[in-house]
Amino acid sequence: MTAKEGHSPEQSAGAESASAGIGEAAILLGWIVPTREEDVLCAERDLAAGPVTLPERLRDVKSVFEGMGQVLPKVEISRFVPDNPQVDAALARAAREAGRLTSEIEERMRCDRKAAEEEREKDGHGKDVR
Amino acid sequence: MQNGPVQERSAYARESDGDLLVYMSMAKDDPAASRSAWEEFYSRHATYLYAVCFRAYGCLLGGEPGVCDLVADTFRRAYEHAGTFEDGGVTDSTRQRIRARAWLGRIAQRLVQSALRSRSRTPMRFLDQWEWQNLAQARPKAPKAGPQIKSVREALMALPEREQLVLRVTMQWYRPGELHQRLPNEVTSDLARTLQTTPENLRQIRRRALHKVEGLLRDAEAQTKKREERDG
Repeated sequence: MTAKEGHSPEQSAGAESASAGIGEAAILLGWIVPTREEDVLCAERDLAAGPVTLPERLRDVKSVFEGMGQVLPKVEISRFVPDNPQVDAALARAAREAGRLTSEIEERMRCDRKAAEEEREKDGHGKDVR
Repeated sequence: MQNGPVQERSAYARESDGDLLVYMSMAKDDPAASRSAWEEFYSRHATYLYAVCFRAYGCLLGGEPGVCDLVADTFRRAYEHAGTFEDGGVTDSTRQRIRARAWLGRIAQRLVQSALRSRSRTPMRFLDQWEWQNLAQARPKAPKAGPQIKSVREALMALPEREQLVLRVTMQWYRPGELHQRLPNEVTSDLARTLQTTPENLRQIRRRALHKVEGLLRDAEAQTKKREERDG
């Protein structure tokens, strides 16, 4: 999808320029994983604000390696859950504080899990196979 | 960062990331050394990668389980393709760490792009050779986080959910330094289905969102100019 179709060159240029600005802001917002060295440094500074807890599943190095020989569940995009900055901040804080969760965050995580489960129950054409 | 992976003190603890990746790439000749090097590499970077992936993709991948899959898959690809890492002649261990993390980020980003393309549960394709070569290349420098970026950030957060989602997915194909950011057709179609609209309407949503942000930026710029003139 480009900004080429159906509008003036000025509009295109403006939208594309905004797009580049948004890209850079998205990196700073953490919407895009850092892929440049400068962005890694920024992310490291952000993360240094508090300890991050690795989920149990990723904590045992040996079992993660053993798991590499098997077919991993493939990365799947589940239903989009729009960001709520307050909930996200609380989630990040909870992760740093070893998982003390408020009821609002637990509800958000429950919805996430439910959406992921529903998605897994669909076949290749998006039909429900339950 | 704390609470990382559990691992005994490794014989490779003093090796640089570049050297670990070299050992990892020798899996056929010395599998034990390759595995130990991978374990050390994983221990150093797993917590970081999990944190940045959770922040970026938690809402797209369904939270912790999806992000765990992504992180495990990223390290798996890093192990299989360790030989494609380019240290760029950097010998300083801190720079090597940052370079390795940027590389891991590029792998994770490509995996998410691939997953977005194949949401209809077709098997996720492996990254092509050209993609691995592309991953190794250095990226243009990031601009400093100036007031304009701050304004964009505020404008983004103020957009309605629908527009935020469109831009958020579009941004997964953001290529620094390139003007035309193209979203693959299959992703456009899939996203349109998700939002129960047509690809053409989706383009309109994106355009509208970009124009909104552009307008907000112009306003912010005008206000700054006015303030500067007033303050002499």
